[in-house]
Order: sequence, then C-alpha cells, then structure tokens
Amino acid sequence: MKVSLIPALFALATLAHAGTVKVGNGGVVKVGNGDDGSDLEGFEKIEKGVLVETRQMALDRVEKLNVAGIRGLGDLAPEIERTPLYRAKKDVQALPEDQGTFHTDFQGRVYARTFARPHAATRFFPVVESLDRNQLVALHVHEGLHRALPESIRENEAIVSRLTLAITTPDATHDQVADVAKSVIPPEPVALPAAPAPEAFTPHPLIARPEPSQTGYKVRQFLGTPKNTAYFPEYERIHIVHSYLYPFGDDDAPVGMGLEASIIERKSGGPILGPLGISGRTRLWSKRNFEIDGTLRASLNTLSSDELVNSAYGRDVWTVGLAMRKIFNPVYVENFIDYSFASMSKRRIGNTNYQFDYGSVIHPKFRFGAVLGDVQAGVFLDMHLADELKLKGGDFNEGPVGRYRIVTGGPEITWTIGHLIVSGTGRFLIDATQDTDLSYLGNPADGIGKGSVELSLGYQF
Amino acid sequence: MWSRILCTLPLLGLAGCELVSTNNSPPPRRIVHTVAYDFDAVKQISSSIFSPDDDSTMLAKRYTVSPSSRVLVRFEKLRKKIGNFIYAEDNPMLVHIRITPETDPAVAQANLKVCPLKKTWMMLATWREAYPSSGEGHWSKRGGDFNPARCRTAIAMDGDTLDFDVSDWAQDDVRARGKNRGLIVISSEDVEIYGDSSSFAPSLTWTESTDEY
Repeated sequence: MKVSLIPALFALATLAHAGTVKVGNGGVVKVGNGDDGSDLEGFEKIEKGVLVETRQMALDRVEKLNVAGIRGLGDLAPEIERTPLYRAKKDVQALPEDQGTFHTDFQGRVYARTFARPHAATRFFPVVESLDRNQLVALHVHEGLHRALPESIRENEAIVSRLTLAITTPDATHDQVADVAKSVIPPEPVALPAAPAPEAFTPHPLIARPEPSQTGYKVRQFLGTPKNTAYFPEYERIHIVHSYLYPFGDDDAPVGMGLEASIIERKSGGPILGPLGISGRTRLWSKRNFEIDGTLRASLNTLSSDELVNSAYGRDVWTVGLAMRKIFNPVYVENFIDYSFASMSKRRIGNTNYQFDYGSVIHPKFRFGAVLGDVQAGVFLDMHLADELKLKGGDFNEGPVGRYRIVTGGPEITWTIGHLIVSGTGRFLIDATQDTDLSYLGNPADGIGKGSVELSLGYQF
Repeated sequence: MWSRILCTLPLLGLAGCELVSTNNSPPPRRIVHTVAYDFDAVKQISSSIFSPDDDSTMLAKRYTVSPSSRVLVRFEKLRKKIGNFIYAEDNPMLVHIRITPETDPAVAQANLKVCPLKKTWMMLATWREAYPSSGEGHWSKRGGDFNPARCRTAIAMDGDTLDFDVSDWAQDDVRARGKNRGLIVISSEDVEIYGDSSSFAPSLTWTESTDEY
C-alpha cells in the first residue's frame, strides 16, 4: 500500500491515545479530534463532486459576508478554500469530542473531521452524503472554523457552532457575524512594547566621578577700584590654595571636608593673609547624570584689627549652599543657591571703634554651557541679594546702604586632562545698587570692586 | 519721714529687731562737682582734602580752622554721661578750645565759633559728606550742616583757652531729644587750635551733682 504524506500524518495522529501523541523529545501535541484511525483505510482525495461544489459555496458565502474583516475570522476563507478534501470509505462513530450539531447524525456517525490547526485536511465520511447542500456548506464552514479560529478557542465546540450558525444563517449579515464574533472570540493580548530596561547609569566622564577629591591652586586678579575705598581698600589679587577630600560616604554620595588658604596682594603695602576657608561637603544625590551637592562653609578672617587698618573687610562669613548639576552631551546646566548669615567686622578709626554690620546674603547662580569632549565652555550669571550694611560706633549709627543687589556674570571654560582640571573664569559687574560693588560683600574671597579674572589648576583624585 | 531699722543682736534671751522712726535724720548732702572730658571724636574736614581717612585729619596735634577747614567734635555717649547735669546760668556746659601760640588771641576770640550739627557724622567725614555712602551721607551743604543762629562765640578766654557755652545744645538736643550729633568748630579767619593728640585737646566740662547720705 502506497502511503502518501498526508495519510501518514493521519496515521501518526491516530496512533495516539485520544487527544495526544508523543513527539520528538517527549513534547506532547494534541492532534485534532483524536480517533482510532479506523477511517484511514481507503480514503481518497476529493477533487470534484458535491463536496467540492459546496466548498465553493461556503467560500462564496464567507466572502460575501466579508468575514475577513472580522477580528478572529481573517483566516476562515483561506482555510475553507485550501483545505484538502478526503473521503473515507467507512463511517465512524463519534468520540466524546465529536459531540455537537455539526459533527454527527442522530446515530452518532461522524460527518467530517479535521485537525484543529491551520492548513489541516478535512475528512468526510460516507454519512455526509445524507446532508443537503446547505448542510454541507455549514459543514465546510464549521470545519474551517476549527482551523482558522485563535488557538485558544478553535476546539471549543460551543463557540465554533455558534459562529457556524451566525455565518450560515440565511439572512446573516456582516454586522451580525461581527457581533457574534466579538462576543465569543477573546481579544488578542496586546503585545506591549518591552518595558525599557532601567536606565543604566553611565555617567558622563566629566561628572559622577568616583574621585571627587581635589586639590589645587587659583589666582584671581581683581578688576577696577572699589567705589568706596574709605571702607574697602583696593586689593590687587588673591592667591588661593584648596584641598577638598571626601573620605566618607560612597561613590554616589561622598562626604568630606575642604580647606582653603589665601594670600592677598595689595596695591600698596606688602601681602596679607586672606580668609581661611573651612567647609563640610557632601554629594547628596548622584543619579541620571544629576549631581546635587551640599556645603557648609566658613570663611574666617585671619587678621587682627591692627593688621586690618583702614578696612571694613575681616568678617567671618558662614554660608550654606546647594548645587544642582547635570552634564549631558552637548550641554551642562548648573544651579546654585547659597545663603550667607549676617556677621560683622570691626575697625578702629581715630579714637572710635566702629562696627560694620553686614546683613544676610542670598546668592543664586546659574551656569550654562556646552560640552565639547573634555572641554566645558559656557557662561554664568549670579546675583547677591544682601540685607543692609550698617555702620555704628559711638553715637553714630547709620547706613551706608540698605537692601542692595550685586549682579555679575561672565564666561568660563574648563579643560579636563585626565585627573588635571584647568579652568578660566571672567567675572564682571553687570548691575548693582547705586554706589555698591562686590566689595560691599565684605569678603575678598567673594569679590572686590568690579569683578575679576581667574585661572585655576586642580588635580582630582 | 525718715526711717531706719535698728536691730539688736540677741544676747541671752534679749532679742529683737525694732523699727525705729527717725524724723530727726539729716537730709542727704548734695555734692556739686565739675566733670571734664576730652572729646572722643575729633575730625578735620577741609575742601582741599578728599580722602576720608587722611592721616592729617584725625589724631593730630594741631588743626587749622578757616573758612575752608573746620573741625568736628563729639563726645560719644554724652546722653548717658550727663544724667546728673545741672543746668544753671552759673553752671553752664562749656567747650574748651585752646589756641596755639602762633594764633592771635584776638582774632581767635573774634572769629572762632562752636555750632551744633544737624547731621550725624563719623570719623571718615569729609568736606563733602558726613560719612561715605550712596548719597545719604552727603552734607546738604558742603562743609557741614549747622544752623548759624545757634553758633556760639567764646564767652571767656582764660589764657589761650576759649570757653564756649553749649548748655542750650546739651539741654535741647542731647538730653531732650536724645540726639548727640556733635559740634563743629568754625572760623571766618585762620585760627590754629590744639588737636586731640595734644595735651590741650578740645574738651567738655559741666557741673553735676550727687547726693551723699
């Protein structure tokens, strides 16, 4: 007996117990209705006759109803059209899975079977000849639904029968079929786009450094003469060395302290010691290319009254500050906000001791620029908004100035060469309350006169 | 009624304190004395000196007083000091200014005047401003703000020292209004006076009383 491929498949299926067959490496595949294969002997392919004609009629019907445009029924027409048709020579009795209007007659003889998978063949049994053309059309549609419906329901006899009735009803319409399909065919699971993986923190090489400690030197050349040299003498430049160490915390939130010492060159007279800077520093946050740093700084006067002759400088300034920084190609943005507490300095003029009372200062600053490889180049803009500066001594208790503002800005550039950081900054007075300037901040470390140009060299480790 | 409490120490059963009324106690004795203080703040202002902290304008031994050069004087915290000041015609508050030997006493007596100031000042005052500031510190009139009608000429000259009665100023400005803006020494002729670094610094005297019981 010649065994062609298709009968071989049927034979394979029927060797299994009802419903399953072991395949390959032990995986189990359910093969259609499952039967004992007794119908396989002598089946022949159908190429003409009423079954072919009614198949075409079934195809015409589903195309007329445009079931292809109904969700879940898009494959019905092709399945009806292309399924190979076979005729068995002997009838078979129904199995438990064959229970249903379209499968058996009243004697339990099966009309037709197909595997519930796409492109499977359809087998017709001799009892099918008792059906009229309309019934054969319904049978073609029914078997086609077993192959065309979504896998989750294609073996659900109730659903398949209901759809068969909807399609084959004489006055069926597209909308009616669509309504039934909508009610019995489950919605397709929406293929959600894969959730993006948590953003891997790939820090820009210029920030989120696991090496925030730094030591360095800077020189700042002051520009212009202070507006009030009676209070604020003119200084030439200031030299500052600093060391910021972060031994505590972790890579994302280092904690440390800083030291700054300075020397001031005066226009006349020898150099004097500048303010001593002590600071506590911590990185509060470091994620998504953001850095937020907090600082508490003290700029302490190092000179006695005798050494600070003719000067209103010499106050101790305590400042708390917050810096928010983000660097991402091709720009960087940084916001600062500092608050300096009120303090005072003393000076003896003639026989009278005078006290300069500096009010508190709020200092917002904004930096913005471009990142070009290892170079950052940009501008900054800041404002010092200060409470009044009051002067008192003896029976004198007046001005010299109430609430005042000092606005500065300028260019800046930083070049990072491995661990080395070289930077240059220009700071220029843009606007200020009448007759005030940077000297009115009372701290050479904050500025003098009309601005400064600065060159800085640092080593990061 | 004067009273005093007389307590008897307890002695073997004898004890007690008894309030003793003493209507016959003598009244407290008022002691009147003169106090003298050098001025704390002495500052020269001149139309030819622009630097507020010019060394020649403070802590100097001598100052020139002229139409273009004046001297500011102030005794700090005077209001607290003159609490017991007794104002009377025979007990005035006096400013004492001693002229240098090179100065003609007649010229000094005829031209030197002491005037209460209308604006407060500090030791960085100049001919233009009472204190360095953004404008508020400027004299409304260069050379100092004062009312010429309140200026005082010397009431007496003791040797080279001229005495100026400033009792009205002490009463009206310092004590009554609590305003001690100091005084300005002016002259329409050149007069040289001793400064605050000399032994004859400008000074202030007044009479005050205390009660002694």
